[in-house]
Order: sequence, then C-alpha cells, then structure tokens
Amino acid sequence: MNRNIKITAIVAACLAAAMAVYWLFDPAANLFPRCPFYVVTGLKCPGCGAQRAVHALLHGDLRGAWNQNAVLLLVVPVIVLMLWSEYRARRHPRLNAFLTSTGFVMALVALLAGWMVVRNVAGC
Amino acid sequence: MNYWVVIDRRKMGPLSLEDLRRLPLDENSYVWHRGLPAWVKAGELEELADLFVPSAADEAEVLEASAGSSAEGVTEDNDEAAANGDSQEESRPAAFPPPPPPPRPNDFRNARYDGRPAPPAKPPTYLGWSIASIICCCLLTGIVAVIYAAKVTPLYDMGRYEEARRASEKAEIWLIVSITVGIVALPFQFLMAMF
Repeated sequence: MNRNIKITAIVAACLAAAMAVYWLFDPAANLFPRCPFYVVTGLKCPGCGAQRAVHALLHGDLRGAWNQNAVLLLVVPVIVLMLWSEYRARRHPRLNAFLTSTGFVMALVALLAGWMVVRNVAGC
Repeated sequence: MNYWVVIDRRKMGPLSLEDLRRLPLDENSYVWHRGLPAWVKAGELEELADLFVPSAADEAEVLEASAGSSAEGVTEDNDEAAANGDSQEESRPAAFPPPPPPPRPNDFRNARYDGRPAPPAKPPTYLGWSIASIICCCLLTGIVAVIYAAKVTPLYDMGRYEEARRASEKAEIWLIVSITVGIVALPFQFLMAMF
C-alpha cells in the first residue's frame, strides 16, 4: 500500500512537471525532441503532433489540439480508462474484460493504423 | 440467546434477537444460533419470519385468520420448536458452543468444489501502457508490446495461465525496450531539432 502511494506520487509529480513544460513552451517554436521516425522516413506516425496537441490542450485550445492530432484526443481517454481499469478497477471485471478483449484491441490498433494512412495520404 | 449473522460476506455476532432485528437482513442472509447444526437462511427462522414483508405478510394473515379458531395450534408449534431446540442442545457435548461454522458465502468465494486448484491471479496486460508507447515514442516496439499484451486476456480466459503469464512478461519486456529506446533517443531527438 505504501509502495503504491509512493509510485502514484512519483508518477503524478512527473506528469505535473511535464504538463508545466508543455504549458510554458510551445513545441512548434522551441527546442523540443523530434520524432526520429518522421526524420528518417518522412512519414507521420499516429502520435505525430502529440506535443503540439498537448500544448494546445493545456491552453484550452480544443480546436488546435484537434487540428494537430485528432485521433489523439479520442485515444488518450481510452488509454487512461485502460490504465485505471487495470490497476484500480478490479471491481469492474466486465469493463476490464471489454477493454482487454481481442476485438476492442484490434479496433483500437486498426483506428491508429488507419489514422496513420489517412494522415500521410491526406496530409492532416 | 445469542445469534450470529452474515451480512455483506462478514460474520457478525454474538447479537441479541433485538439487535439482529435491527440489521438489514433479507430472507437469504445466513443466521446461526446455539442448537442449529448449520447456518440457516433468516427466512427459515420463526423468530425472524415477520421481518420479511412479502411472504411474512401472507403468513401473518393466515395466522390472524386462524388465531381465534386454533390458538392451540400455534402454541403446539412453539412447544415443538422448543422441544427440538432442547433435544439438539442435549445431543451436544457440554463444551458447547463451538465457534460458528464458516459461512457458506465465504466457501463459495474462496474454494472450488470440483477439487481443482484455484486459478492463479490474472497477470497484468500492460495494454494501456503499450498503446501509450505507440503514440508517445516508439511505433515499432510499441506494436510488438501491444501484440503480446492483447494475448494475455484471451489466453487467461481459455485457462492457459502459463502462456498468459509469458505473454504478459513479453509485453513487459517490449514495454521496457520501448521506454529505453525512447530515453536513449531523446538526446538525438533534441539534436535533430537543432538542425
């Protein structure tokens, strides 16, 4: 229990620090890590634009975040729900079963793969 | 007389009859008192029968209807119950009461009656982390992690616990690879951003 609290505190602190950085600095205008996949292949991966989207989101700019990476806005809540259901929701076995079912994971991967194709073809 | 009762899978007692009647019982709550060979449902105990409204109301009507005509019948019932209780208490050794037998709901939760060992706990799937790693840093290693993570639940549900545990471990390894690659690549990512 004590260990769990410690881990939660560390994760929360890291998250808060990262959010502060992304709130203060605009990744589009400052020195921020580049995606090596994009640099090497010239292709946008499903997560491209995530840093700019987070910056926009922290400034309350939902439309800007949507323009940077639309699918990210849809997938992040799902990821949070998955993590929550894995660690905190032993009391909701049906939710956990649904989120970890092959069908749901396949759909999620297909969404990300489809998004990667669409954004490289249509350039969004 | 002291009563023991199971509420929300927890055993409570000893309680007086008055205390017992104030608790949120239903007909299927398990109750035990001295002289009973095993836990019985509260609905089966005469002294609690009037607590359970739908069925008890019918009984009460029947009792009221027959109260004038056959009051003797009721007293006979009581005598019989007392006699039963006495005979059961007499048949026990003097060191009575033993600790109450474990309540049945607990038995169902903790043990399996088919003799097979209980299944091991489900290993972590790491699914959320794997998908996050696809988006945050590492497309390729993240996909490998997701493939293994997605196998954990179906394998576990099929009863292939050992394979599920190994898939979970593989997912964890690829997740660690993803994070390591992400951290190692970070300086280079900054370098790339400079030019």
